Amino acid sequence: MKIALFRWKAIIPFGTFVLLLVLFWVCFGNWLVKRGLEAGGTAAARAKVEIDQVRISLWQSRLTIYGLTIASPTEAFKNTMQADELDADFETLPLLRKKFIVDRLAATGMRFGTARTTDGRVKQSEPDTSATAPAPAGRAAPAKAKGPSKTSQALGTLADRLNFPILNLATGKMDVGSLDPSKLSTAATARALQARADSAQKAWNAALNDLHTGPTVDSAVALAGRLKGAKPTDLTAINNARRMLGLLSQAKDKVDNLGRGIAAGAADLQHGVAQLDSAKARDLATARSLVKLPALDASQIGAAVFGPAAAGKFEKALHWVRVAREYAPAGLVPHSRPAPKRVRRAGMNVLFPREHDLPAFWLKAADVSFTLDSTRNYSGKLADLTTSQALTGRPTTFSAQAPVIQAGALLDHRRPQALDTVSGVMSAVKLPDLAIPVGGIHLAPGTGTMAFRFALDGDNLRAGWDVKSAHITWAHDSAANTGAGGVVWQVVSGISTLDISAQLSGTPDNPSIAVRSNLDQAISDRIKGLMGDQVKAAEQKLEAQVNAYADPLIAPVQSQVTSITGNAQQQLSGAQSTIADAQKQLQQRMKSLTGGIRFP
Amino acid sequence: MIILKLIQSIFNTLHSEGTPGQVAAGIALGAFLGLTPLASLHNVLIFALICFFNVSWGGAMLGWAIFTPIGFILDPVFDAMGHQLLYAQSLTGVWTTLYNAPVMPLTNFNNTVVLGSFVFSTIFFLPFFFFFRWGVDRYRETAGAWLKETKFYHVITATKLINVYKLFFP
Repeated sequence: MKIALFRWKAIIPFGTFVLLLVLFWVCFGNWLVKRGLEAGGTAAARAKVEIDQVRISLWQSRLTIYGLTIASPTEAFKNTMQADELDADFETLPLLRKKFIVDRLAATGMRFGTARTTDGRVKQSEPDTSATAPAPAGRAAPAKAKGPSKTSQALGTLADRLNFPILNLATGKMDVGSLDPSKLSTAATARALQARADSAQKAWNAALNDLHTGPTVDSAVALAGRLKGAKPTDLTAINNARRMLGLLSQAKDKVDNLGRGIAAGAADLQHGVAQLDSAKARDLATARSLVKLPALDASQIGAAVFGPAAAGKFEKALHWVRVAREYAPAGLVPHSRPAPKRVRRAGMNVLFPREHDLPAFWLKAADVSFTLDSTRNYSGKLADLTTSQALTGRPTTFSAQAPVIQAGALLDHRRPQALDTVSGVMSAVKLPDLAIPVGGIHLAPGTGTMAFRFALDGDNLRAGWDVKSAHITWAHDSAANTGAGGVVWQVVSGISTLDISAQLSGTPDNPSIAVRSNLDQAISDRIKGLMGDQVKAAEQKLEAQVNAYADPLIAPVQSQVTSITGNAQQQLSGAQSTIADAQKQLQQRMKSLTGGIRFP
Repeated sequence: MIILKLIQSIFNTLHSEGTPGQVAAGIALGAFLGLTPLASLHNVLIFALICFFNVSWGGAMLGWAIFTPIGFILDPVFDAMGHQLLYAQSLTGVWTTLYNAPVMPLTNFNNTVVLGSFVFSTIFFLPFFFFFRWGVDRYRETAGAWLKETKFYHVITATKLINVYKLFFP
């Protein structure tokens, strides 16, 4: 039996199926696009993107988004942006190639930094930016976009990497380290001096014993006694007396030599005693160095008080620049990004841009209308927002100019080394409140001037944030009554002007920040004044500890040195005295015997 | 209930008047639908093939039902295959051309799972076809006639429970 290959009667069911698909699009197309935009936007922004309503007309090539909300990726209950309406005219034919080209977009009712009731941050795995397909053969591979490395993304926020001295100031406590005797020098010095004193004592005793002056002196005294009955002609007696005087003279020289040696040794020991005092002084200095003071320098105060707020501003700019670099990489090298989530495994979408072709997304021109303080409307122009500047040949630019605001942005990803800059100056506008990370103090800058500039050239970061206001107000909660919060509150509550300047430099992986304000010196002086008494008390406490440790070591050694020196000198004096007496007696007998005549 | 319905569908398909080739082609095309992510443009073409070619409709639905869970299980394999293919330097030119051609990007071929599962299904289409044709042939020659006479077969194929189920879940 021959079976027909085609089932022509299926045309009607299949046609019905296609009609159902069309009907489904008509009924649910707007909802599908809304879900797609929310999912795609959330993945790109790493924060919830919510849309009230979407209307899309393929026939009219028009897409209108009502009630767009993009949550803040860094702050829990804040929105990055809200817009009442986004109205776009797009090109239909490129849709067949999955390319969304918007010729014109009008965004109205945009607001920034508004509050929200739920946490809009999204936790998701970082895209595999290293997964880059090789360049086609025969075509020079453009350098990989200088986007953020996975390492830098894993390091956490900018504030984490900047490590502000906030904790020292927040506790306001002075830390006194423990006194470790092994690190002090008095004990070692005392032991060394004691050993030297023992050694000197032994040497001196031996030398004094070796003098043996007693027999010579005794012989001289006995000879002097015998000379009482001798005649002047007794030459033997006279010769004996002369020889004995010579022996006494030799003994005296020996004693004098030993006396000089003992005197030198005693001086050395006294120097050792003086070194003990020096060692104690060093130990006191060591103990004082253990007193750790909180951050008191004015430069550190600025970073501690306003650093987190400044880092928050820079963090936002860095986040969106990173998103821009991820979704608009430099060059035409194929690159991948995670596919939108679905029931089955999402996988990765690999994009293959081609020269002289359209990018996957290109917003050619946009007029935006926004408010900053809910009272006035401002307008700006956005141009050439795209996923591939290598194809459009133009950088993405944004500009807004009004009497009170000047803002501009340039995202240049045409070169292998991307350059992203954002800058803005707002004058005479209500500035957002600042939370001081000490004791729950809040600063309302009121109407003032704020300047912001941010540049990421490759991986080189340069940014600045300046705030000036002449009419600031302060508020605080109960935490500001005690500790460092109380100290800061006492200082700042009387200050009505504000001048902050923060400078960020380095790289996203290794940033450094310098923050100064007109409050720094005042807070620093106040803290130093309050902490001065505590510093003195701590130093006195440590000095007492050092004294208690060193004095028991020094006193015995000092006493020993005094004792052995005195004993040695006393023995020496005794010997010198007996020799001198014997010499005197003998010389008097010789004089009376010879009548004062000197014999050869 | 779904299992019961599936068993009934298997019996209905195997004992239908369709040739083993028609049943096997239907199952192989249904496997295509089950293995690849359903919401892909190429599946409209597969569905059209099932409609217009004289293959077993029941077989296609059976293949779809059987291979959908298998597709979920094999997704990591498809992802890896797609990754290898899309990142193969020798194929970059092909992908670039397809990516910038009309309609082709709408198939999501540049997604690793879609491409991997599509290539896998394409490679295994003919093996599936020949395997299932042989299987249906062998079944009908051996166990089919015997099973058709069993009480179990009659219970399964004639159960009103299915109709009750269909009443609530059409």
